[in-house]
Amino acid sequence: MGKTVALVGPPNVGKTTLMSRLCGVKVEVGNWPGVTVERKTCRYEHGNTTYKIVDLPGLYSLTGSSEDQRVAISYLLGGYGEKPDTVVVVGDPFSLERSVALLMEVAELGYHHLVFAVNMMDEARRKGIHVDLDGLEEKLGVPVVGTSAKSGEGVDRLKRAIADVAEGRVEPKPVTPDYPEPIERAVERLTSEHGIPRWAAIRALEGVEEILERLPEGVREEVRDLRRKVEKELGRPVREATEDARRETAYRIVSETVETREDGFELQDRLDKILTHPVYGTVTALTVLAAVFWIAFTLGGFLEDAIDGLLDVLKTLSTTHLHEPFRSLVNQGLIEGVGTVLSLYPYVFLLLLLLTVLEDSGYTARVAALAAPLMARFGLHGKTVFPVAISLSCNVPAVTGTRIIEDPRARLLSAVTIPFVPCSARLAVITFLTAKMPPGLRVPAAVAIYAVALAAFLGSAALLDGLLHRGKRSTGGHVIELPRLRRPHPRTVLTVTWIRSKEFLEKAGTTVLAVSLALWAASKYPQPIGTGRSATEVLGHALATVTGPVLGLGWKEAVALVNGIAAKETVVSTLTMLNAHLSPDKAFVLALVTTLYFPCVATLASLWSETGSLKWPAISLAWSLAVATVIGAAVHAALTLT
Amino acid sequence: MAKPLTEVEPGTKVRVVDIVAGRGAMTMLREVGIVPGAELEVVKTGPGPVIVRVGGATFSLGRGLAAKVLVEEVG
Repeated sequence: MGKTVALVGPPNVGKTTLMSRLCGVKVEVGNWPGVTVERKTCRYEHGNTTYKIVDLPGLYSLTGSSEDQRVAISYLLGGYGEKPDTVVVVGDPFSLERSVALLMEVAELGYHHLVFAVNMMDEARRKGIHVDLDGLEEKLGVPVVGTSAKSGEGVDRLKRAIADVAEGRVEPKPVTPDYPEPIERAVERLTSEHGIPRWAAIRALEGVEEILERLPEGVREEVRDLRRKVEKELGRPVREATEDARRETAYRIVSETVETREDGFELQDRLDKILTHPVYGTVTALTVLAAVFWIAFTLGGFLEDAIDGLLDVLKTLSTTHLHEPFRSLVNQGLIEGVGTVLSLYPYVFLLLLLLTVLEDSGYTARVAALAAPLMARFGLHGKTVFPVAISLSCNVPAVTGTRIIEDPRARLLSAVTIPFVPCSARLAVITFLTAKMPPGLRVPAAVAIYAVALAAFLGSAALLDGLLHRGKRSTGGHVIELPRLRRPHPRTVLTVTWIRSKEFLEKAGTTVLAVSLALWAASKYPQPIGTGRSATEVLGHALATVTGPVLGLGWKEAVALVNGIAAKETVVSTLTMLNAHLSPDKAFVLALVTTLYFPCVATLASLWSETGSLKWPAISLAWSLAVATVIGAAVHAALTLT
Repeated sequence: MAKPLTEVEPGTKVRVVDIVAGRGAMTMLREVGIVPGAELEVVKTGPGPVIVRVGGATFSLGRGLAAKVLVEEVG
């Protein structure tokens, strides 16, 4: 019988890296460093048993208010129909107190099958921090394993500890904090008179809904009375008192087992003062962003040329050796259709790689902190920077990524408007189309398109905020964790970049291929293209009656936009296959429209599931179409007049 | 003598005395351990967000929010 292991811990302790060490990188779904959202699972074999690991979103404490924290709490309370056989609480030596406090909270939920993993031991040692693991084990009452997910140290010992606890060979007795007298007395009443387990009694007194719901009405009344009495005696809410008690116990335990050298943070603090400075910080951020795009575009350009060269060779080979209809099928359907899209992969890979490096180094958090006041003006939270960074690769996880934002108002706003941030597919289209402009205009044009998209994103958020919450200002103020600034780990960065970017390649082999083949067929039948009677031309000319006057786009571009509904990358393949010759003006307008016109089906589905209603994806769709048309028409008009 | 976090010299260790904020703000602060009685190290109070260290972890706080956290210096 397989066993289930839940991984719990604060953000930024290397929990997800530890998970991939346990399972050997066979983790389902992409992992975003520092922004762990969504339930990731994986399996490994140990002894003769299969262990399934469930990675829960980062938690500071079980009083979490953000969406993903509630998911984790709900899971631990059995809300997902699954109760883990072992719970591994992960911490790091730099901030051990909160993991120890979390351990006590989890124990108080009724989980005694616990293992405590202290990760990042190698980094701690390098900074001169010493952890007395044996002492910690004695004081916590649960098995303690020191690990280093980066090097793999301690992973086998962790597996053994997990197995020992899951199989019942070891029975942990987790430490409990000392609560103030009044609380202990009330707990005693509840446990002895009503047979409620200690942990449930404490939770009930704290007012945890999920526990109170399960009590009979009469008992609930009594709990409420007891709570009122206790709070009167203490002069503060029960929850505050219990949290303080846990915190103090955690501090005590850690101070007795961890030796720290205080100057571990000197360099980081000095850097942070600059990075979060309104002037110096912003200059740095813009410079970094510019460098990222510059590297991605220049290096990407070289690689693209190389791939194009290869495609030319293939085309020559196929022209020489193949006969119709295979020749045109391969030349147009495959080489022009799919090949052109694939040749844009280097840009996608490089942009993602650089963004992942920034995230892994901890820099993105500083940008989030810096941008917070600006974001607030648009009704957004500083943490929105994280999903925006993800959105640059793909909108779908970005929408789910908005779960890290605690304020429901700001979260909804970001989820609905974030699809305006151009994803890899749109990057491909922008790169392809700006290449049709004079060399000096290419980069400015691309930057302008991203700027317009960003303005659309922020503007839509501000507008929506104003409409939904007339006059009421949202609670300003942010709390954003700044993880340790560090050298990015090549292994993590490459793995994550690969996971995120391979979707581009997969789409090329599926959707883009399908659309290209369909286009090839529609361009040959019923009559070949050029006669005006192929399916493609008929459709295209019909659409052009609208796109022509409004956007200045002809039938080929219109067909491209329609194909783009399936996947934006197909705009590239369609234009190539149809031999579209675009003037710089047309290319620019088309790039703008493609970037803005609507979120892909997957994103709309994600919006539906995140907001729980069809209203928001519908609004997002209608709004983006409107924005794309208006901006496209305006730019077209401006360009025609000049 | 308690003063707002924003008026503390960087590099000082302080203890939180009171937090004068609404429920939403208090929850955000409580989640990361910034509660009355907690000890913080103030890293930065200059222009931009305020940075503090609690329990070994570093956090950035909006100025408006930080000004509502009243602290007294320790040691």
